[in-house]
Parts: sequence; C-alpha cells; structure tokens
Amino acid sequence: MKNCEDTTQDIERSSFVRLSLKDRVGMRMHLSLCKDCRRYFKDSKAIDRLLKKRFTHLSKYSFTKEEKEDLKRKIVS
Amino acid sequence: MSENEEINPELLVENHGDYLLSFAMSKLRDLDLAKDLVQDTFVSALTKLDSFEKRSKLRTWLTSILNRKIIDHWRKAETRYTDPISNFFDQNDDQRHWLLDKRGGDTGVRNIEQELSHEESMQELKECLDTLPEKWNGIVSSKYLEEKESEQICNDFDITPSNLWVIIHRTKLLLRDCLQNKLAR
Repeated sequence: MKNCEDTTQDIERSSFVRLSLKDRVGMRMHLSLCKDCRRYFKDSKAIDRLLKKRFTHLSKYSFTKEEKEDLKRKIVS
Repeated sequence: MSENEEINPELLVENHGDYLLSFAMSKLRDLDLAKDLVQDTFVSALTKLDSFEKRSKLRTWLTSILNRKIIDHWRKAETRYTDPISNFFDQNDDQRHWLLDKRGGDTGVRNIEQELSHEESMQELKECLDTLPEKWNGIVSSKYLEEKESEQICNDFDITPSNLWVIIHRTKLLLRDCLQNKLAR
C-alpha cells in the first residue's frame, strides 16, 4: 500500500510522465481511502489552473528610454 | 521588414528589449540582473550573427541565447543556494503536517477561483510565488510558461527527474499553504 508521500508525489509525476499500471492502481487505491490525499489531488489541479493563467502572458517589464539609449551604445562597443 | 534589416543594435533593442526583459523576469526576481543578462544577450547575438539561422525567427533565437544565460546563472548560483524554507518540511516531518489541510472542510485553495477576481487571484499568486526559492520559480516558469518537457527542465537546472517531482510537489504544498493563509485573512 502506498503512503501519502508517495501518492502525492505520483500525482505530480503523472503530469510529466505516464505512470506504470502498478503506480496508477496504487494511486487510485490510496486515493479511494485517504481524504487528505483526495484533497491534495483537487488542490493540485486548482493550483495548476492558477499557474497556467499566471503564465499565459508574460508580466510586462520595460526598459526606460534612457536605459534603451544606454543599451544601444553599450552593446556595440 | 525582413529579418536582415532588423539586425542592428538600434532595432534589436527597440523591437526585442522589453520582450526579453519580461521573459527574463518570468524566471528571475532581480530586475538589475535581468537587465544585465538582456544586455549580455544582445552582445552575444551581435558577435555571433553568422550562426543565426535565417529560417528561425529572430526573437526565438534571441530568447534561446537569453535562456542559456539564465541557466548559466542558475548553475553558478547553485553553490551559494540555501533553502530558506526547509523548515517548513523538516519540522514534525513524521506527522506530515504539511500534507494536511489544517483548516479542514472545503475551504480549500479551490475557493480562490470562486471568491477572488482574476486580478486579485493573480496578485495573491504572485506574492506567494515570491516566497519560493528563486530557482523553483524558474522551474515553475519552465513548466507552465514554456511547457518544457521534464527531460529538458532537468537538463537546464541540473537536477534529476525525482528532484523535479519533489520540487513541484513542494511548490504546490507551499503555494497551497500561502494561498490559504491569504484566504483566511
């Protein structure tokens, strides 16, 4: 039987790679019995959605006019 | 405008400077460092113009140069890196207090999606992301902004796949804890 730490880590691992059948079954079994890990699972998906929104667009940063003129001079010398 | 005409210092800075700075700041917190790396990127780009493949987009090429400079920065910073939040995990680890949603019930982080406007939730999220170690921020940005594969991220940050799962896992636990504290206020 998988413990909470393995299970919650497998939840994250599954967003990068396909878990083995054994790991998938182990994760489901544990989730069906453990309320805390079910909650982690839902929270993890919610944080995924927030992070995707956050990184859909780059936050805007700009050089000032003076910095740009300075930069143009510096990069040629 | 063809790419050829675009390659002079004036136009590089005007057309791509702010974009590259914004890209760097998605991975770094130090604005001065980000500006320095953008400057280095332009210098490198101008000295190896002949290696620029006309088939690729200029901005893509510039971004890849900048990305390598950011990665070099992470690698150099590695030795000086100390984990400011290890306490969060090390204390009472046997009780796995960090796994439990202490507030119980359904007042979880999911409520942030319902209770806060887009702007508010993004502001709270930004503040919480700022409490993470800087390198973790870079890893999160690689995953969610650039949608890089795990192999690529591991390569860039010089970590093993299992390091990566653990970092993403801990990032989420910290973000959850931070967001819940904000909601509870």
